[in-house]
Amino acid sequence: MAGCASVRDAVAREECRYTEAKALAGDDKALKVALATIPEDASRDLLLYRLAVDHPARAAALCGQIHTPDLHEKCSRVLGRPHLQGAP
Amino acid sequence: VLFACGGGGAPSAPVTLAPGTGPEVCAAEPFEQLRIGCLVESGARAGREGHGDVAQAACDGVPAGTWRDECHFRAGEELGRAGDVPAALAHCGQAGRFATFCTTHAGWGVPPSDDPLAGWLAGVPKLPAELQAEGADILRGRWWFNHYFGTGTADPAAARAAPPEEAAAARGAWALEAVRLLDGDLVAARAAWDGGTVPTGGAKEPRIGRYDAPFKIAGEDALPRIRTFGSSLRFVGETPAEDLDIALLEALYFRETTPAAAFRPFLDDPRPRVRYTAFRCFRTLPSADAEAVLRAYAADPDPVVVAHVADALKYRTWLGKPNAPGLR
Repeated sequence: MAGCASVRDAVAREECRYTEAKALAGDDKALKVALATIPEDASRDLLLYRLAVDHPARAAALCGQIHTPDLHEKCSRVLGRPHLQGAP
Repeated sequence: VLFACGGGGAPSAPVTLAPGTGPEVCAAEPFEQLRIGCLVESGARAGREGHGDVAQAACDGVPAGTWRDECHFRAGEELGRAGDVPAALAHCGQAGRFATFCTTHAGWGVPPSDDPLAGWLAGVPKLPAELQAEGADILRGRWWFNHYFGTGTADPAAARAAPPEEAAAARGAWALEAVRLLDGDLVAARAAWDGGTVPTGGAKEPRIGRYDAPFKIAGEDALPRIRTFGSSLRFVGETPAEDLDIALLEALYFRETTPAAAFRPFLDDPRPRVRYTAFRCFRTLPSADAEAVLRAYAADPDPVVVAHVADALKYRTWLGKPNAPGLR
């Protein structure tokens, strides 16, 4: 994931990080290590939000790591409904 | 939430969408997951504002699957709260595996209005076939609930004149308000029904009370039941008089200050449906002697009673333990 930092375009850089993070989505430890290599809070939080949408059943844990107040609130609001916790 | 993109910087801080904007603004989100979140929120907001068609456009933009189902769920429940029942059910009918939740939330959220029940029921065909009977049951329950509960007046005339398919719902709703206004006095409530007198008093807001999740007790599911507040279930009596007695017990339960002891005399009622109702109410309320009382019925000749007792003792339902059937 560290290699993505050299991508100049912001959207392309996010896609690069997202593609790598998706491959780690089932491995919490590896994902945590990878997230720690991202220097920008906003980028890290965006990644967490995107993974939460992809995996609503894990949203509580993923949303809980988001630091950006607005995105944390949105993540909890959209993904925090109980019936989504059983979603694939 | 919009992330400004382009250039070499990090994505900017999220921007909150302005109120009144439609789902078209979501196209500006650079990532699919943000677009989905935006569209789901847009669908919910359009529902809250009573715009079922705008909500439809929002949900149509979400890829099929969990999130499109969720979008219709959010839109449906908000449209229900906004009072547009047919539009709410049109969305609930598209909510896939959330259709039942959606119908429950939408139906029990409809505010009081002058709309006729027939207007609400016109939306039922939009639900999946297997959900239509439940949906209609919920709407009948809610319509009559709105007619009586919290109004400060419990005139039995309307309930007594209800058509047969609405009679139990009407009786149940009248009982909720009569029992509330008469401070749990069942004798006075029965007299009011029989004599046509009108209990009156202060209005109640919010219009909520105590209810429980339906139990799955062998032998009960074959008996006729209707949905009550929050999509709990109550038995329909074998006769109108028995049904009124069941409705009054349910009303006692709904009244949050009623203690478990109020239901004890009915644990020995000769009418099975009254008895089962009393067992459900008694065993989900706290009381010091709950376990001893229930154990005394462990060898009851009625297998439904035995099943209630076994379930209660297993989960200790009078304690309201998490993960056990109990109070909401």
